[in-house]
Amino acid sequence: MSTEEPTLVGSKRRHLPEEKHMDRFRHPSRRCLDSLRLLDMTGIGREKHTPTNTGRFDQSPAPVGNAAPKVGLNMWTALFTRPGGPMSVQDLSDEEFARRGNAIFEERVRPTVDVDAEAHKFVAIDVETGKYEIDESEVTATDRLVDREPEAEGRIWLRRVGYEHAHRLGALSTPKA
Amino acid sequence: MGLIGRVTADREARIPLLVGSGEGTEREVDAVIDTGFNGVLGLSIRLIEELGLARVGRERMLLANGEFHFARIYRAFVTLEDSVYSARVVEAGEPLAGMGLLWEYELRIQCVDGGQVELERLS
Repeated sequence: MSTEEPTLVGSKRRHLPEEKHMDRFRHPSRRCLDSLRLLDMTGIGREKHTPTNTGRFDQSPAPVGNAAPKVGLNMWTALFTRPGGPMSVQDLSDEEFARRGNAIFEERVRPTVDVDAEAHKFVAIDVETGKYEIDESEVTATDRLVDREPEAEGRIWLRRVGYEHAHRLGALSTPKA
Repeated sequence: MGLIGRVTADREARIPLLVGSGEGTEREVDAVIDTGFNGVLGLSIRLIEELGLARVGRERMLLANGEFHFARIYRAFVTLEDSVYSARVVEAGEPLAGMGLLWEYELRIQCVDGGQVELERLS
């Protein structure tokens, strides 16, 4: 199950080259928006939940992960502003990216799926918004999420319903010397 | 007759694939068939950069030695038997054709040096 009815299809999906999605992470305004969404995901700056403060985050998803200290937007901005621009989920370490993705899975996805019967299915999770898609195919799951939410491209955590790892690989092969 | 590849003296079954970014850049790669890899396609970081593949996200992979490895996932387009498929690519040491790519195909391998590898779509 997913936020939409899952479609059981094969692992391959035919695409025309022009269907490829554009890189949406280079536009300054988009990066700024990403930063604000990240702010909401972490729970930092949750003054919005107080009765006297009904800011722009009122309709946003519940925060993920451990409770974060309440600091203001300016503090967050100061902490996560780098010379190259505001921090986005792209800047997260692999461990933190995985932690967020798996936290969203536990909170939103696990209650809606039969983990035993659907263990092999792929879950594509937008670690910023918490939106997700589930499918037998990783191609279909990720494509469907990006079709629904183009900004998700690049910030998807891919895993299985029953496992945190998405794929098995014999080994990290090395080229011939 | 389906896609034809060859078995090497190194005991690897290889098939030629045309991989593209969808924005004009394409490379023909000689991919090792790896049934121990249940993803679609593995490519070296150098080739991923050369092709300019768009990043889709990240995942954790389970290696044969039991260790986990974080990998980036990219979007590519693979031509198989004149059909173009959308594929997800993970970073690997060399081009790998996983079970995800072979899915719904029949694979026949002559396991001798220079043996023929045939890949044919199941109807």
